Amino acid sequence: MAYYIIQNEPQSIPTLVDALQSWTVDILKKLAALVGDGKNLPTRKADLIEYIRRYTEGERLQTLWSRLDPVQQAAVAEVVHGPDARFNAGRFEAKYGQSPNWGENRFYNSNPSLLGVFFHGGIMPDDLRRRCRSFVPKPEPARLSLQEEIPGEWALTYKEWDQETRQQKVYQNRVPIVRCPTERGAMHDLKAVLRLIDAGKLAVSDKTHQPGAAALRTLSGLLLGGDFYDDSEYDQYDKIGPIKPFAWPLLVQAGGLAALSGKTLQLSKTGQKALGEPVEKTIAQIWRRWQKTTLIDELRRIDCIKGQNGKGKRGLTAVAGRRAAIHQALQHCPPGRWIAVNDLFRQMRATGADFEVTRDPWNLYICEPGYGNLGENHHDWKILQARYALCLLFEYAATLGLLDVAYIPPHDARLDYRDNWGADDLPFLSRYDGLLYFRINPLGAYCLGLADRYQPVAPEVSATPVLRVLPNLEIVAIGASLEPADAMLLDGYASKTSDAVWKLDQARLLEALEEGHDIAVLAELLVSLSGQPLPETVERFLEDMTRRARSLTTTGTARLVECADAVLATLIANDSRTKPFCLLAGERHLAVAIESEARFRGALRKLGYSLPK
Amino acid sequence: MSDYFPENPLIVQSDQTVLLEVHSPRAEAARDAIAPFAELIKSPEHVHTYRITPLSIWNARATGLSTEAMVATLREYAKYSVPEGVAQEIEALGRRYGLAVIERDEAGLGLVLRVADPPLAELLARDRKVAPLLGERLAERVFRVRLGVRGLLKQALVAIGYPADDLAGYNEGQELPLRLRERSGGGEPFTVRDYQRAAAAAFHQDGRTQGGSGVIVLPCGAGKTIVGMAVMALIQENTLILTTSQTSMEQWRRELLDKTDLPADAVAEYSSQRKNTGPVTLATYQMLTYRPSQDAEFVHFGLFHARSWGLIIYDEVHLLPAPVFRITAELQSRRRLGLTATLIREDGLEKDVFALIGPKRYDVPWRELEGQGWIAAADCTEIRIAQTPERDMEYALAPRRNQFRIAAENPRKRAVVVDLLKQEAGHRILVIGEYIDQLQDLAADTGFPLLTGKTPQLERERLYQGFRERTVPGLVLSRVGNFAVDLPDADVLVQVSGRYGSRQEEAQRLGRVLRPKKDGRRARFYTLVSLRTCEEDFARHRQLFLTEQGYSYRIETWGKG
Repeated sequence: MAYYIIQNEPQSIPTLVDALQSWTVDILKKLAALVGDGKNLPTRKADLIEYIRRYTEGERLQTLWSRLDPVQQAAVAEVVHGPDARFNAGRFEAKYGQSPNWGENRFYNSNPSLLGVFFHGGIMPDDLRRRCRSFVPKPEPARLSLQEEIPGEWALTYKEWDQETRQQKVYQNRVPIVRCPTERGAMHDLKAVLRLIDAGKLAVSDKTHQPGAAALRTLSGLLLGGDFYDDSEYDQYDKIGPIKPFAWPLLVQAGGLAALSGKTLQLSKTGQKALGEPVEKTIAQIWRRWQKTTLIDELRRIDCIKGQNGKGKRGLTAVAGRRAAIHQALQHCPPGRWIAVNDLFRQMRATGADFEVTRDPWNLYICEPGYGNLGENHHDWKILQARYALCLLFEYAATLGLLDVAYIPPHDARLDYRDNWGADDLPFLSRYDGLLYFRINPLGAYCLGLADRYQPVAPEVSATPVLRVLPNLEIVAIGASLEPADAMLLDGYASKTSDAVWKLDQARLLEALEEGHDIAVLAELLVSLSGQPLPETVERFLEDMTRRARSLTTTGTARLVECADAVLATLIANDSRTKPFCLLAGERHLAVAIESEARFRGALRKLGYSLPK
Repeated sequence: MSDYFPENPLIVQSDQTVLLEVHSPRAEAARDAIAPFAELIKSPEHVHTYRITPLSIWNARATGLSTEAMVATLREYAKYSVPEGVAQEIEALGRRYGLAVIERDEAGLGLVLRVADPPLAELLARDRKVAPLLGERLAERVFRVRLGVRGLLKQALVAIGYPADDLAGYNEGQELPLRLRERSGGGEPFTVRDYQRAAAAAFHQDGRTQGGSGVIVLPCGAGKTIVGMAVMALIQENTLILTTSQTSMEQWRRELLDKTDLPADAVAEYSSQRKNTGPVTLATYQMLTYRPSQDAEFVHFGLFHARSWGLIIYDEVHLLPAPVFRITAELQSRRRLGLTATLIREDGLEKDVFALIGPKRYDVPWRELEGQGWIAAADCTEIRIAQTPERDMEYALAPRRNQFRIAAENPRKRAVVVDLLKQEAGHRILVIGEYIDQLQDLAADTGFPLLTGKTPQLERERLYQGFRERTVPGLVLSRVGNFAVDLPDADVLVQVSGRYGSRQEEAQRLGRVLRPKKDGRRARFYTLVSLRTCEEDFARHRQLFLTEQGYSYRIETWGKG
């Protein structure tokens, strides 16, 4: 889809004759030869037009159409039954995998195919279009290729010059495909991240809101199963970089669960609430809000595409529109079936659910702004749109647990950028290049609006308890699999007394409650990890602490007013005009709620006194 | 985690505590294996905690256990790899034991300290605590021990981390023919239980110099008195028995006469009433530490030298007062037996117990004895009782120091006690509390006799006897009921008020109902607590102690079904 409509080009042509009028005699002669029997061809332009018109009259048009090959017929069908008269080459190629035969077009020597009678400058005349509707069958809609199963390996094809045979040698390297169900992991990770934030241990940049190296390291250790890739063994040049740990801080900020306070993130009220809420609701909310966030343009994550600042940035399209297009495309994917990402991209282009990343690709470049710019003919959909979509799908949708993903390392996974200037040495264009397939899981179906309710995956039942909660208010980690996030939650509520023991104590719990933690979250964790109900002493202790914490409520700020003597204080506290706005605090003091201060001052004046500001 | 053996029950932590997962199939074996060198700190349901301390290591070394064996035991039963620091600490501390040995000189007249190597000899010769206690340097590694400082030297050596192996032996005491009876005075069959026999044997060590001093750790109600008598029967020498109270003294006397063939005149009492000494002499710590003024001498310390004692028994050794430690330091040539339910002292003087009384010789967890039926199982229930609104206000307005008492004396507790007595009708009930006014009210409500510190000893004995003979159905006791009241049939104890959060008091009180019941019924221990008062917090301290001992603990709110 072209972003600009060239104003000088016609958007429709009323009749075939009008269309033919625009061609030269030379072209018209070739078209006339194609439609007629080739004998006694007129030579004058008007005669040629009349000749062609005659051969498209009545049933002859259908005869001409039947002489088209199937791909050409499809091209006709797409326009005849399409929204407008213009042939969309990109969409057609995406749907059919090839372009129709238009004939030869060499410099000024053009030999059109029979399709040239139907399309003129890519537009089908309205009269032809109308007449064709009666006999041209509707084209099959573009369909996703759904897969129950995906291959275990992926073949990377390389070409190498063979010195001996003096020929290109093609060989394949088979790479195992990693399948990653993300649902459970995301649910775990979200809580882990929220707990980390709650503990005040997640720092992000105050400028970019993105996590720094230390935060990424902390997060990597917390996430269930770690990041998608473990690149610790890769050398510096081949490093892939963080995906999940990078995404989570942005996701929670975009979701309104946390906000920057100083240099660390702090849970918002929604975030505090989310700790005790069903996770799927929170994830759905994050995804919803992510659609509109301006915290980050995912294209930024394609580090190799430069020029995204300044002039280049101004040319970039709004992220919300791009995300909406991808979101909409996902809504057409049936849950539970594997879909190749390339197939999704094909489908998006074929159905017109397309998007642009920039209005001015000349400002974007790889390696070098001059030679490496991505201006016309130096990029196609796969370089910009596909990379953007891969990032959104892999880094954000999969991290949130909406999509199960199947992937290989990004190195050499997509070689489509290699022809660009200076790109041959890059190990990959984006760290998301390895994403091959995705599958919308139940959580994804719920969040994308494909299912009314969330049907959670069956939790993995641990054969042995991870924790023991002891009646003496101690919590002992006895299993090997106490997650760092769970350990962190325990740290928030209890004091760690040794390597594997936490102790519930009044001071720590009250502190946690004061900070807005919910004891129910702790109780739930203890029960789930110990596999047993809490000992009665622990249960009562938690109840007692909750009761105590709820016994007092902050209702607002008050101003303390000192009176000259106890009599005056009593007078003001009991006068019917001032009484509603103040309380006697001790003998000579009055407490006035800040919100009532103005009214108190008014009443005080009526009483004959004033309070200096 | 690289090394993980889920079937193993131990988690060895870097702070030298060891967690034992009791549900593990290998838990029992692991417990038996670590008990010699790790102190049981707490034993709540599911997971027990042990601590490896210098003393526990030296205690184990004193029994001949090698450091390699200790580390190997930990590695064999550990779930995760044993922290290297722990293994190193055991090896480092364990190696120190026995580097210094106190023994008799060749002539057998004086004592010498022999150390393992010259550097240590130099270290000790220069140490400001040890050097003054050493006499002439007889050889590069041998020092003469100055006269009368054997105990002080052992204390000093423990303090600097080189505990001495005392092989100097003991002076022979005056002979005391003593045999344990097969039938008690009441005609019932009497046998020393296996663990009691094993404890006595572990202490005696067949008369070798390696034995003869040390501590036996048994839970309340496990029959520490019997162990004491079994040791006396092995040693057959004059014995001085030090106890915590007059009542306890009475109990010892009763038991000695009931279960040994000692004639009544062989058991003497050194008390405020009678200052007699005999082949077996009973005295209290209070009596011994009496002095007319703070600067005066302890006038009764002469008792330690009054006879040629072959054995001194320190009952409830965890309560041993500091002055008695001092005199004990001078009595290192006597055999010394400490009896206690816990080695943990509130004053932290465990090292003095180790140096001056001796290492731990025997320890049986109460769970094991409960399993074998030697002590009664107990259910603990905390009942929370709301105060009246007026009293709540009185509590809120009272100065902080008075709040505890107001909460403790909550008048609604009286009704709860009466309710409980109805519920427990037919059982043998003790009501115990802190405040006399409250206890007087309860005595009036229940009709039980009241025993306080002011009750004359004879009257106390009469009432205890009445309770034992079932002519008195229950007793209301003040703090005097905390210690050594032998009321074997008591099976219900209602604690109406306590001494703040004292865990020791809680243990002692619970101990009153832990004697095994003939019909095997479970003991019940009720604690009454005023709702929404500081009593709740104090009760939590005590609750922790009980749960850490492994007792089941329930919390009810009175008036809520």
